Amino acid sequence: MSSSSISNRLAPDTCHSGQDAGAPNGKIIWIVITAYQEAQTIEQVVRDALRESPYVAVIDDGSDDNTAQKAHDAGAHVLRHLFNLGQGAALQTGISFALAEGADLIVTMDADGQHDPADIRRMAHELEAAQADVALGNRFSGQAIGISWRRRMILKCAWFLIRITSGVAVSDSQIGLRLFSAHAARKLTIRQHRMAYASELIHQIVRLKLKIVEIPVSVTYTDYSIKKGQSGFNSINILIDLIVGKFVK
Amino acid sequence: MIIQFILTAGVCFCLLYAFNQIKRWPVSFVIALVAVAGLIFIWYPGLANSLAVWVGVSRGADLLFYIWIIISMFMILNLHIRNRSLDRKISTILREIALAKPQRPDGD
Repeated sequence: MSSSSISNRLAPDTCHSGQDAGAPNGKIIWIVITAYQEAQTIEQVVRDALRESPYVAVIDDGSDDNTAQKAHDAGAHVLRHLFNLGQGAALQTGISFALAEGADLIVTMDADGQHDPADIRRMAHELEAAQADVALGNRFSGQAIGISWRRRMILKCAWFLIRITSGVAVSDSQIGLRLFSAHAARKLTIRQHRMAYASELIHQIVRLKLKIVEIPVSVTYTDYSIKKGQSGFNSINILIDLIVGKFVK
Repeated sequence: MIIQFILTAGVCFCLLYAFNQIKRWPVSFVIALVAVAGLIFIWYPGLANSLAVWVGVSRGADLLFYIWIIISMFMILNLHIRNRSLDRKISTILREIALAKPQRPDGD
């Protein structure tokens, strides 16, 4: 077993209302949302996120549609990649931006509306309570509404792969809803541009001996998010990216 | 034979390229090694046949074909890795540009 420790926290009985609950110890939470061609959902996702924290950054990863404009209109800080690099690269841009803006805690989430921003404050409080460095959402101990058996199988394969390569049993390594302390975010460097970044992150967390806490969260699959999501075949690309990435300087 | 001179000219070009890439010594060393082996096989084709029989392949031409496939695969991998390395450099530039020009919410 790895030296990186994992705790599982139970969901509290009450759900956060959004307006009255503050960040733990008055800490500044930045919400980083990576987006590529998400004009259909980004406005609502930003508005929902702003209910949880006034600090929301959208990284538009070279969209051709008006994702960036809609995110800005909704009240987010917007950073643009001149062309599409991949979610991993966009996340690193967002995390660098949030750190430069003085974030104490950084949340990452997807732009397709599958995550519930109401989980964020609870994750922050659980992270503080557990004195952890990284909080990972866990849809399997929480709710995975509308998840297909195929998606569940792919995620289980990813769990198995990470289990044998990192030695750590993270229940839901591929989830986009994560929370990092600033201390942890400064140490982590995402080098994988595309979807392999999720596995890379877990390996780095283990290597850096950061403490992980897993928190039950709610993920809702819609026709839109399923269409935008990764295909099963992309798992092979992720595997190749991880292997080749070991040789890239 | 004419083909031997043509192939020799090609292999000599490979040697020149290896010399040109001398700063990337592992790659240039492999290219030079393959080129020298190629020169030997061009001028002493019987050696390729003997070597083929020794490793269990029936003909020297088949052996060279298999070796060429392996070399090509390594070349593709090497190019892919260099490509990825360039990707990372490009992403660093794009990130710096994005971070330099954040679009803040109105009234912020």
